[in-house]
Amino acid sequence: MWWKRKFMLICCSLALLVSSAGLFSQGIKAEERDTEGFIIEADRVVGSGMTASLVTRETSKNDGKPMLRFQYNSATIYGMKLTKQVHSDKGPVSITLKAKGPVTVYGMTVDASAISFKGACVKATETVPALGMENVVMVAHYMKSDDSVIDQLTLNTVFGSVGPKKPGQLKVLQDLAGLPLEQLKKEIARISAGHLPLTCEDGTASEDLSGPIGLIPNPLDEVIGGVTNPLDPILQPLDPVVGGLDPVLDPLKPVLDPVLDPLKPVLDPIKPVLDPVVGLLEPVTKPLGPVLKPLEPVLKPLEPVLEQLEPVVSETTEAVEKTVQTVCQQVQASGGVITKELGLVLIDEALAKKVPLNQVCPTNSSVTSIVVKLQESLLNTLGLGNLLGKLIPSDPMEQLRKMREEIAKKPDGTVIYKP
Amino acid sequence: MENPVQPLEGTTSKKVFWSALASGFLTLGLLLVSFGVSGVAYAVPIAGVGDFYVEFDKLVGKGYTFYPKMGKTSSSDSAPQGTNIIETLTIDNLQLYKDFQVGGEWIRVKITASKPVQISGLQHDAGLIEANAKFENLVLEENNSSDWQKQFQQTSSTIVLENAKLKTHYLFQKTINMNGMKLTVERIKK
Repeated sequence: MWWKRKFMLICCSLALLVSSAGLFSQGIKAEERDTEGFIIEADRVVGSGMTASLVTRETSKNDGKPMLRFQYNSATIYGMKLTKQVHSDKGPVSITLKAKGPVTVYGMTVDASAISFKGACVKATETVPALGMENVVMVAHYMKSDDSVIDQLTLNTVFGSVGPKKPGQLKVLQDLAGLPLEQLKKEIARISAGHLPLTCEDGTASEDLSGPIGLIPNPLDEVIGGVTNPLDPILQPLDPVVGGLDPVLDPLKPVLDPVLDPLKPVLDPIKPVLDPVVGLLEPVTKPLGPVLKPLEPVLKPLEPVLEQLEPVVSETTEAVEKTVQTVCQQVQASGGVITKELGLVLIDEALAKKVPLNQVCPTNSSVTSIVVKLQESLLNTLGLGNLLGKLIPSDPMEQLRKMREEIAKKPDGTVIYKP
Repeated sequence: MENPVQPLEGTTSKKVFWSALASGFLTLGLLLVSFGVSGVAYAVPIAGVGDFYVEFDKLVGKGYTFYPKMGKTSSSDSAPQGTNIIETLTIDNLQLYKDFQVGGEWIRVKITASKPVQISGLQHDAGLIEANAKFENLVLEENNSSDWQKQFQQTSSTIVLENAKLKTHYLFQKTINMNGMKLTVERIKK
């Protein structure tokens, strides 16, 4: 029966075709892995001033997709890993940004289309002062921060699709995804106004709320709650303990008494101790007398010197003033011819007053003009100017010191300036 | 018995050889002279030597952008990399080095700068970056684009990298001011 054999052959071929088609379609599905979003994983996120809301945002495949927006005033992320997969011409490529140290961010905004974490249920547009999340995995599409500090960052780009499995989409986002744009906006506004739950279904608490994770309570509330309530059952069993303390308190008294008593006699002797010390200072200086005696002949000659110093100091100040007058007068009397010695006195005077040379005799215009010409001449003749006319050095005091060094090298009596 | 295989001997044109050598040295000399006079080199690419490493104590830059790309490496014509664009930056204690195996030994050709290096228009393609990082106005975002290189990008107004090591495949600077530059070749153990 030839037609039976042909029928069997056709059936087998069809079965093979169907199974092959199924296999190939699975293969194609595996190739077309969803690369939308970048996956952010974190062991723990501790943040302050957190607000969650709903927004629509552009993705790599979509112009507007409903997302959950988390905004933090500040947050510290521990064990952060960010993975982005892209399809290049040569195959899938993964970008991995990993921080071995903590990541500190200020003013952070994250838009996510899917998220899973252990923590409190987050409600729309409600600001949570402090929030902790653990084992966070989110599919983010936008992340912004004003300031970020990433310790031990590793940024790596490799072939292949690496990274964890994406978390399931939140129910609220699933519901919103199918809505037309106008209705989507209205629904987002309704959820936001009603502060409806975003990360849990009933809004009371997530199943993982127990334990330290979730909303971080006010530490004072925690302390008060922990102390006031448990006191009732504890008060009764305390009685025998208080009774047992009596014999303990009594022995303490004798312990304290002997301590306090001996202190009194200790305080009293302090006065006599201080007195004899003061008194003893005199006899100590006395025994030093014989030691100082040999020094007396040395000290005695110094006395007249010290006495004389006072008039010397007073005379010195007067002499300086006289010297200044004399210098100015000498310059005037010299008719403008400045010798090495007069020049040195002029420069010393300028250095002492910390003024340029032309201000040593500011009241005498004729002397000032001589001194100005002297300064110009000295700067030129001593080679203290460069080719462009700029003085080397530029500091006036340094110039004076340089001029003094150069003049001091000249033989005594040398005329260093003549009009 | 006479060997039937006669070696074919070639001759070198001395004229061509010496003119090529002289023109090469002249070009290198002009480059070094211009670099030495101004301290600034313009449009400087470093490529074609395969992977090399860039290390520094600190980088402070403005106008940072990162996006993925495919590019050449020493072992592949097309390998995944990340392109880092920084508009202006200053690097302290910069070191660039490449290790070569010559015979049975390894040698390291290293360029260092003892003074801060100022760069404008940097394009840096790297396979790996390790550093302590600080960013201002950091943004990571997706874009709906058919060009895969534009689908994801990271930007920041400022970037600071400290104690950094970068596995680099390509480096280009519009201008680089590299005072205190030193080139060394040393034998290393691997």
